[in-house]
Amino acid sequence: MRYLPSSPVEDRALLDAIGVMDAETLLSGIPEPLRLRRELELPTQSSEQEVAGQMLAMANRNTRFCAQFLGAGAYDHFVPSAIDALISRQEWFTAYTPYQPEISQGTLQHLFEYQTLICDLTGLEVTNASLYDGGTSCVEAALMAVRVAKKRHTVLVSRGLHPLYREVLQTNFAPHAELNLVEVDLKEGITDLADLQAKLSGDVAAVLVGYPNFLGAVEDLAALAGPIHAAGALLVSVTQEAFAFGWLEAPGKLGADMACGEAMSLGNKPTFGGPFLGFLAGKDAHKRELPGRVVGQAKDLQDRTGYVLTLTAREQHIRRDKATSNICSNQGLVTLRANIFMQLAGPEGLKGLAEQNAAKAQYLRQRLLELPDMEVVVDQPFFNEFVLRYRGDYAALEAACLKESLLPGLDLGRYYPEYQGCILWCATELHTRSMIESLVELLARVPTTV
Amino acid sequence: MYPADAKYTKNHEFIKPLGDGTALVGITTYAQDAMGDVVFVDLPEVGDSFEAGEEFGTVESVKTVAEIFLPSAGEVLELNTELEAHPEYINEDAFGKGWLIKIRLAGELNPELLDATAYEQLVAEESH
Amino acid sequence: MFLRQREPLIFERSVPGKRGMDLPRLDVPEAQDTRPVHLRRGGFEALPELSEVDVIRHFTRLSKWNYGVDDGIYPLGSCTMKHNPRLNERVAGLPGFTDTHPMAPDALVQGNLELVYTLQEWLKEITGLPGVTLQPSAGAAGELTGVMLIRAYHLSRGAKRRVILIPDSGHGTNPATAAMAGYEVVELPSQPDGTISFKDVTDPTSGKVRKGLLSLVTELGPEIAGAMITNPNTVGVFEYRFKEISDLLHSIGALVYMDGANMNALIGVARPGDFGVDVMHLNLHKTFSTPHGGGGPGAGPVCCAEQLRPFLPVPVVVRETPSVGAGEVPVSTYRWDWDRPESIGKVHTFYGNFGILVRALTYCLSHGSDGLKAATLRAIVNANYIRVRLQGAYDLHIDSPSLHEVVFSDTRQAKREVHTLDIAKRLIDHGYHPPTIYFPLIVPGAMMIEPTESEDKFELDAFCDTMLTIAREAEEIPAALHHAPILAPLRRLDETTAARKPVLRWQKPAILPA
Repeated sequence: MRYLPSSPVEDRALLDAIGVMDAETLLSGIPEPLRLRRELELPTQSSEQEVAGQMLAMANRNTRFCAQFLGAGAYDHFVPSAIDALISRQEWFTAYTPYQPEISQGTLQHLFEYQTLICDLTGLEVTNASLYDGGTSCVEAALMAVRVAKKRHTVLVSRGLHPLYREVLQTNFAPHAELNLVEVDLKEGITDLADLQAKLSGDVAAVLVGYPNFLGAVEDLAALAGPIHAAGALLVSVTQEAFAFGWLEAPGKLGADMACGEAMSLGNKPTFGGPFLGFLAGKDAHKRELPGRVVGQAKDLQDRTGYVLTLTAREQHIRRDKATSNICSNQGLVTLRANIFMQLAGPEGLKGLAEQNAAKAQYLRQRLLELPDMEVVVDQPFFNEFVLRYRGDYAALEAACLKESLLPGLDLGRYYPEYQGCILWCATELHTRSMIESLVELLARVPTTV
Repeated sequence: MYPADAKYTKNHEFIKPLGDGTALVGITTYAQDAMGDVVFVDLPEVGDSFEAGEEFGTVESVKTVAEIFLPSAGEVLELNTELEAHPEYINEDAFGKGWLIKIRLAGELNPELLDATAYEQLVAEESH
Repeated sequence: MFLRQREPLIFERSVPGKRGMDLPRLDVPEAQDTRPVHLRRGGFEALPELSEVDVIRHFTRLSKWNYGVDDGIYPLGSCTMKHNPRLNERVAGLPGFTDTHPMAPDALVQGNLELVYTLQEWLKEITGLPGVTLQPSAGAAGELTGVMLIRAYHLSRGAKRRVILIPDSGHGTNPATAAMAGYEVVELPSQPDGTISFKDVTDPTSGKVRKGLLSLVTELGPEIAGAMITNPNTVGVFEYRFKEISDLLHSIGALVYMDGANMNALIGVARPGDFGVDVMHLNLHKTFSTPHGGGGPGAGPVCCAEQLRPFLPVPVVVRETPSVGAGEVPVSTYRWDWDRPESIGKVHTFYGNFGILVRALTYCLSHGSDGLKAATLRAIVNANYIRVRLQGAYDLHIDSPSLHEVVFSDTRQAKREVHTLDIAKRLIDHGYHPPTIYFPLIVPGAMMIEPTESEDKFELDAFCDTMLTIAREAEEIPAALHHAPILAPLRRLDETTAARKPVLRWQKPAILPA
C-alpha cells in the first residue's frame, strides 16, 4: 500500500522495540467477543491508476452543461487560476486548526484578513473565521440573536429566505421547546410589512430577511429596520449570493444588526452544494456571543504583531455545555479561496463583476419576456436572479433545454405553492450573449401545452 | 488575608455588607488566582433579582470560565462598569476595585455563609 | 517554512489603481439601475487594490509560516494528521464533480449520487451500522445530527427524556452538542485507568463523591435519553466494558452514541455496530485522510442502527436496479428520496461537503479492505513505539494498553518548573508541530501524541530523539525552556491582552487633522 511505510524489516524492528510478537498483541485491550474476526467485505486495495480511472468514470456519469441558468443558492462564477494554484500548497491545505500560533501565523494572518474583508462587505464590525454554509449560518445567527436579546424567545423568518435555509432552521429549532420560529409572509415578492408588524412583539429576538431574497428581489432593509428596531428586535440580513455585495449597499449601513449567509460565490464552484462558505457578522457589542473560531491581533514577547485564536472562553472546549455553539471547525480552505478571490478582485473588480451579473440578468429577463409564454410576476429590483411566470409546461421546457445541454432555471412551485408555474432564472458573468440567445431561441420552439 | 467584614461561599464568592441594607459582591483572591488573568465579566442588569445561590454572571479568563452565584438573595443596584475596560482589577484587587455588583439585600444575610476564618480553612484544604 | 520574518497585512500593500482581475468584455447592454439610491453599493473600506503578482507572493510567503503534514510528523492527538494523498485532490478537482449544481435533476447527477451511495456502503460495512447520512459538515455537526436522531426516536415512542450522560474525558463538543439538541448533560466520572467508572468515584483531595454509571442509571433511569461515549476514548484506550455499558443503557430504554473521532484505531478490527452502538459519527478529515485545510472543511457522516433510520436527514439516496433477463447486466439508477415523513429534516443546505466525500471515497478505494486494516494496525504500532521510546523520560499518567495514541503527563518535568506548554513550544524550535496539549482534562499537563500510520521508523525516531532532548533540557536548563520558541518568526503571544481588548479586523488608520 503506497501510503503506508510498512516493510517486513521495519515492521519487525518496531515490534521488537515494543516487545511484542505481532501487531495483533497490541489489540489485547479490545475484548475478544468485540473483535471483528473476518475481513471487511469490501474490495481490496487498488493502484492510483485504477482508482483515478474509476473516479473519472463516476465524474463522467454526471451530465455536463454548456450553460446553467440555475442559481438558487449555488452560483457558477469564474474562478481565477491563482486560487487553485495557491491552495494546492501543502502549507495551506494540509495544516490543522491554528492552535499553536507561533507555528501557524500563515493561517492566522490569512483569517484576520478574511475577517476584515467580510466585515467590509457586510458593513459590520465583527465576524468569525466562518461557518459551514448558508443554512447553518442562519441557525447560528438566530441562536446568537436569542442570546444577545436575552429573555426573548421568538425568531421571525421571512418566507423570502432560501427554503432550504428555512428547513435547516426548523431542524435545529425543533429540540428547543422554549423557542419559536415564525414565518412572515411575502407580498409582491418581498417581505410583507403589514404581516411583519402584526407578528413583531416584545418576545421577538430577531427577524431574518433575505438580501436579495430567494426570488431574487432586493428587500429594502432600511425600511424594515425601523419597525424591527422599534420592537426591540434585531434585523438579520441573509445573503445567499455574495456577489450581491458588489452591487447592493452593505447591510450594516442599512440598519442590519447582523449579516449572515453564503459566500461560496467568492472563488468556488457549485460542487454539488459543498464545501460552501457560511459567514456571520455582527456588531462589536455582540462579539462575545459569536459562535465558532475568531482570530484576533496579539503582540509577542518582543512586541511584534501576530495573530491568535481569541475569545476562546465562548467555545466548547472550555465552556462545554454552556458554549455559544458546538462548532469547532471552520471552512478553513474555503475561506482561503474567498480571501484570495477578494484580494484579486479588489473594490473595482467586485463592483465590476457585480455590474456584469446585473447586466446579464437584466438582458436575460428582457429577452425571455419577449417570448409569448413568459410574463412578469415579481416586479422588484433584482440582482442576478429573477422570477417569471411560464404559461407552458415546465417539464417540456426542461426536457428541451437538457437536450441542448442547457440547465434551465428552477421550477419555483416545488418550494412556493403560490408561485406554481413560475421559474427562478439566474445569469452571471459566465453567461455570454450567445448562450442567452441560444436559450431564448430554444424556448421559442417549445410548444405551449397548457 | 481574607477581610473579616465579608462573608464567603464555598464557591469562592464574597459578600461585604455595607451596613445600609446593601452589599458588595465579588470573587475572592483565591478564586482569581486559580482562574488566572481575567479577560471579561458578564454581569446581570440593574434591577434583576436573584435568590441565594442563583447564578448571576460569569467571569472569563483566557483558559476558563467561572459561573458566579449570589451569596445572599437580593436585587442588583449597581454594576462595576469599570471592569468593562479593566477586567484586570479582579486580579489586582479582588476585594477592592475588582468588586462585581452591589445589591440590596432581600432580608437577612444568608446564614449558611462562611466567616473569614472558616473560609481560610476551606482554602487551605483545597490548596493541597 | 520560516523563510521570512514578516509579511505585512495585505491592506498595507494596497495601491490605488492596481488590478488583480481583468473583467471580460461586456457583450450585453449595461445594467439599468432602477433601485432607490440608498440600496446602491457605496465604497469599500478595506478591500485592497493589488496585482495578481502581489496576491500570489502574499499567500506564498504567508504559507511559509505554516506547518503542514508534508513538513514532517504532525503529532496532534485526536486530530489524526495523516498523509493527504494527492490523488484525492486531483479527483476532487474534476470538473465533472465541481461543475455540478445541487439542484440539478437527479438524472443529470447520477455520478454524484452513485458516489454518495458507494461511500455510504463502505461506511456501513466499516461500522456495522445499516443507516448512513453524509450530510453533516463536520464532526460536531455529525454529533448534533446523531443526538437529534436519538431525540426523534424517543419522541416517536412518546417519551421525553431530558438527560445525556457524557464521560469527563469526552471532547468539549459532546456536552455543547447535547445542549444544542436541548438536553441536560450529566457527567460520568473516569476511573484511574481512564475508562468510564461504573462505581461512584471519590475525589482523593476534596473528598467529593461523583456518581458512577450504576448510580446514575438507577437514579435517573427513564430520564436518560442516551450516552455519548468516545471509543477508543481520548486517552487512546478501548472502553473494554463497552458492551456492558450499552446493554445497561438499552435495558432502561436509552441509546448509545459513539463519538467516532478515534475510529482510525478500529477499522477492520472491531465494528461499533457489533458492540451495541446505536448511532455514531465519523470524521472523514481524520480517519479518511481528507485534508484539514487549516481548520476545515471537514465532513461528519453519521451511521445508525436500523431503528434510527427513519429519522435520518432528508434527502436519502436510493438505488434502483431493474430486473433484467438472464445474461443481461442491470444498470442501476440513483435518486434522492425526499419523502421521509419521520425525518429530523435538513442539517445542511444541500448534501454536505460533497468535495470532501469525493476524497474520502478515493481513499477507501485506494486502500481497500486490506489497506484499511493495515493502516489501523500500523497506526497502533507507531503509537506504541513512541510510548516505549518515551516512557523512560515522560510519565504515563494512565498505564492502560493504548491503541493509536499515547498520552503523557508533565508531572516529572513540572518538578523542575517545566510544563507541557514549555515542552510544546520547545518542539517548535526543533522544527516540529507540538502534540495536542492539556487535553484530555483528566490527565494533568496532558501531551497527547498521535503519530498516525503515515510515519516510518526514521521519522518516528527523529521525533522521539527530539522529545528526549527536550526532556534532558528540562533537567539541565529548565529556565531556558520558558523562553521557547526562540527560532519561530514570533515568540510567545500575549493571549490575555488579545482577549481583553480584542482587535478582530484591520481598520484604516484614522487621518489626523492637520
